[in-house]
Amino acid sequence: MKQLLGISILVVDDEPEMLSILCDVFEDEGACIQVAEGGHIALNCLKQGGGVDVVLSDICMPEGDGLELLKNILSTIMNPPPVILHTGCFDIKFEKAKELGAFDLLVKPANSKTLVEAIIKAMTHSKLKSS
Amino acid sequence: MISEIKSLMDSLNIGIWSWNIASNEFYWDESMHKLYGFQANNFPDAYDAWLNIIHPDDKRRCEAEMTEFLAGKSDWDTRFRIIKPDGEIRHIVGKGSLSRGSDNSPLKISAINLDVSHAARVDAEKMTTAKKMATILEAVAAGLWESDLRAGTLELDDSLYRLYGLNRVDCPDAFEANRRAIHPEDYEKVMGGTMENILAGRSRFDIEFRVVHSDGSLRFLAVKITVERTKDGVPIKMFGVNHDVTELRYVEDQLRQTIAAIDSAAIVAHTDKTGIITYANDRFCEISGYSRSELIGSTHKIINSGHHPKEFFQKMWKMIGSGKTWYGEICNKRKNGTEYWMQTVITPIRNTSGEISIFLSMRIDITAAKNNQLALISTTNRMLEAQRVAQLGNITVDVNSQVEEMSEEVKHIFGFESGEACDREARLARIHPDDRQAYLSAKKEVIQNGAILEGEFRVVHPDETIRYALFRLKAAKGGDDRNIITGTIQDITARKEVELKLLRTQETLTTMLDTVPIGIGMTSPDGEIIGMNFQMLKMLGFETVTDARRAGILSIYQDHQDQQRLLGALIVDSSVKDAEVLFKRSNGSSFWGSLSATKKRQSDGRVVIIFSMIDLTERKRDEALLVQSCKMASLGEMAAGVAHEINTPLAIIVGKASRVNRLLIELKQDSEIITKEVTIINDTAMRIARIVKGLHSFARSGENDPLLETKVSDVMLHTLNLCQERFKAKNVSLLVEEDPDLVLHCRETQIIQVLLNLLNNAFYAVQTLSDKWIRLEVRDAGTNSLQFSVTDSGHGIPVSTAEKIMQPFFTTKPVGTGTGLGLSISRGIAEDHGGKLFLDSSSPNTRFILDLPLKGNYIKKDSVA
Repeated sequence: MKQLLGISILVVDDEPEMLSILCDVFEDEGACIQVAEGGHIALNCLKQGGGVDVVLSDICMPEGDGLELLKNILSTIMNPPPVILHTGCFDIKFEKAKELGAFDLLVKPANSKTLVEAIIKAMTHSKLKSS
Repeated sequence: MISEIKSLMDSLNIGIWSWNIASNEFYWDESMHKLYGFQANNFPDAYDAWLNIIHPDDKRRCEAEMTEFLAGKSDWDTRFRIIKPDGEIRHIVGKGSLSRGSDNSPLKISAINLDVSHAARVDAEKMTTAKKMATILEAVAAGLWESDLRAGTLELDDSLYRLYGLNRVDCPDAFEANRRAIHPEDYEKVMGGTMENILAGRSRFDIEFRVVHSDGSLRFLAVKITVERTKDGVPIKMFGVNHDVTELRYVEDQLRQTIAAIDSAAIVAHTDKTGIITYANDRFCEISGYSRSELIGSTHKIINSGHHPKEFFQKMWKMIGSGKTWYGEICNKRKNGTEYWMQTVITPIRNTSGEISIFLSMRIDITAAKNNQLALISTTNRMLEAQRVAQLGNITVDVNSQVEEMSEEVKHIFGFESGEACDREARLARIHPDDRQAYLSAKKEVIQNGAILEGEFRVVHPDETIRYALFRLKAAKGGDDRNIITGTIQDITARKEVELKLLRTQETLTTMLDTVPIGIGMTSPDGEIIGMNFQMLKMLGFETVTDARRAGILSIYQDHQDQQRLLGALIVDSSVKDAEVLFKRSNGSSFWGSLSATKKRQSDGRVVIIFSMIDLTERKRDEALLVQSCKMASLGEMAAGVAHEINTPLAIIVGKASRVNRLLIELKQDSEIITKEVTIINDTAMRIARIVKGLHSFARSGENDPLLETKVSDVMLHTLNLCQERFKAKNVSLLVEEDPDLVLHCRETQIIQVLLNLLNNAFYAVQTLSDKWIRLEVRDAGTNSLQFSVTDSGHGIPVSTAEKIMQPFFTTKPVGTGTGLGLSISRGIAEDHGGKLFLDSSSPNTRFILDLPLKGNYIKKDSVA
């Protein structure tokens, strides 16, 4: 059973291999994927109104880092989608991410199960909020 | 009359005491009280109390004499000294006799005490007068009786009943009253004696007898009996006048004894108004060499030595002629021409009409003392002046007679005026109470064992100033082979004050030296240790300076050359500052210290080296810790920096691995072998991720983190992540025993640090062994604590090493391998958590235990700026 059927996810990462793996994982579960290789592109994507349900973003990226993206999403997008941060650094803690407005923080390397569950959790929360 | 006698007794300083043995009544008259310096009725009338007043030197003898006396073996006839409550010493002559019952048992003791301190005050003539007066007392009628011899009746008056101690109502019959009252032994004498006298035709006769009162006391009664007869001599009536003569008998007895006492103690003479000798006692004859007949009838010119000028005697006569008593010292001449000195008291005695009838002189021989004194005077004058300047006096005491000679300066030292008496007791009273006992025992040593007394005693002057006196006394033989104590007494107050001041300064300095947290010492230029303060001794592990001296200066350096270097530097410069030197403790352990030294020439010309030492162990450790934490911090930064670089590729590996698995499923290529291999790739990647995370956490000091509830299993896991690969690589088997439920209140990274340190030490230790294993255990140790233990296959640590392993910088690892800080830091962490880290010496294998409280109770470490 495809767990993410009909869900539109914006995946942000500067590492093409990472993007490809994440796309594979989510598409396998039936999600609709948009990708961005940096924060700036991701923000433009959202501004064009791509109907994104969830954002999963890396933090350390040369073209606009994840935390800046998060800030911009929260300040410029109407009804912003939940943002899940996805990082290999230890410089941000879960509590800090929450404080900044992120929905969740995933630490690399996270396996596919963890990734999918995080998306489902975000969607459930988002639906409860809008209803 | 009795009262007159009493007052006479008083003026004579005669006290009377008695002891009724049967009733155990002790009686002291007023004079006794006065004599002994007590208020009337204020003296505890008891034998022991009396003994306590007696001068310590006479006490034992008095006690023995009294025992003899009470046992009836002898009369009491003695002389002793007493110390009155005000400290005054008086000389007492005591005489007493014991009266006995028919069965020879002692009934009553009557005794007198006579103060002979100023024997001449005793007025012998007055006593003779008293005797005369006493006889008049007999006329004092007391009880009367009348007997009709024909009718056979007897009537007693009330006074007689009273004298008998009877009551008429109880005993109306007069004959019965006689029987009851008269002493059984005397009854026959009274009755028979009366009858005898009547039969002998006497009409007036006296009988004396005793009556016994119902309380057992005895009274002496004298009865004057008058017999009325018919013309032809037939007795018809008898009258009796009874009077109580008890007091009289008593007083008479005592007076007799008193006179004897004075006569035996002093040289007594009476002269008439013109100075002609009318009485001379034996002692007078003895000392003058004249017979009594030669003396009586002549004047005192017979013994005039010509020593005194005429004015001396004129003055004396003028004084006694006016009725006053004269005191003085007179030099007399014996019949054989030799001279003798008399301390003399002359008292004029008045007759009943108030005119001076005789002069009573009493004298005591003081020749011995006087001769010495005279012989010394001329040479002494110069000496005395010298002594005055030196504040040094000399004193000689005859041990037996207690006759003393001393120079004026002795008196000054004791604070007496020239004219004041300065006898033994007076001097003793001025010795500081705290020193008195020591002085007395030292003096006793001199007398008994011939020791030489050389000691300082404090003397308290009347104005309460305290002087320090140096006594130098020794026993010696005087002329005539007399035992004497002789020596000097010197006032050393001035010197003493300087000494004391110095001592106080020294004490202050010593206290200061011992309390400063800096080791301070002094050596001679060739390194002989002169002194070290407490702090330096403590630093170097010596008990005393003597220990340090024994060990020698070189022993305090790890490298002996350091002493030479120090001396060399002191030759070039006069001081060395803050040189860092590795010192060695007496137990062989070493520590870093900062050494400063100065060369100083002392006031006596000696050159000394004064050196100070500050223990740098703490500072060195802090420095090393700082280096260590800097290293750790940079490692942490690096770990954080590389984490992203590693984790992203790891995420790709993990992602790709799971992709491979999914592809296998999609392609229906169900290959178990490939799936297994992919799983290994995935797990390995995850492990790399954990190591990176662990490295990051470990590198943080965690010192300021709050203590958090932490799962012990997490602590164990995070620790093992950081080391188990290495152990595996070196073939060291790691056994882990844990309890998954345990939760600990701690700073996780710090505990990991401790465990990792223990594991690394164990790892290092077992490397050379054939059997290599390490066991990490954790268990609930009860009483709210938890124990981690790290055991390895090694066989314990030698005791000498075990003592030092917790010290900073101690390491058994080769240079460059270890910091020597691991265990000391670990112990610090354990203690910060309120726990402890120790070597379990009971284990056959090497085992360290980290004991931690489950909750709180930790010491918050001061945050270091």
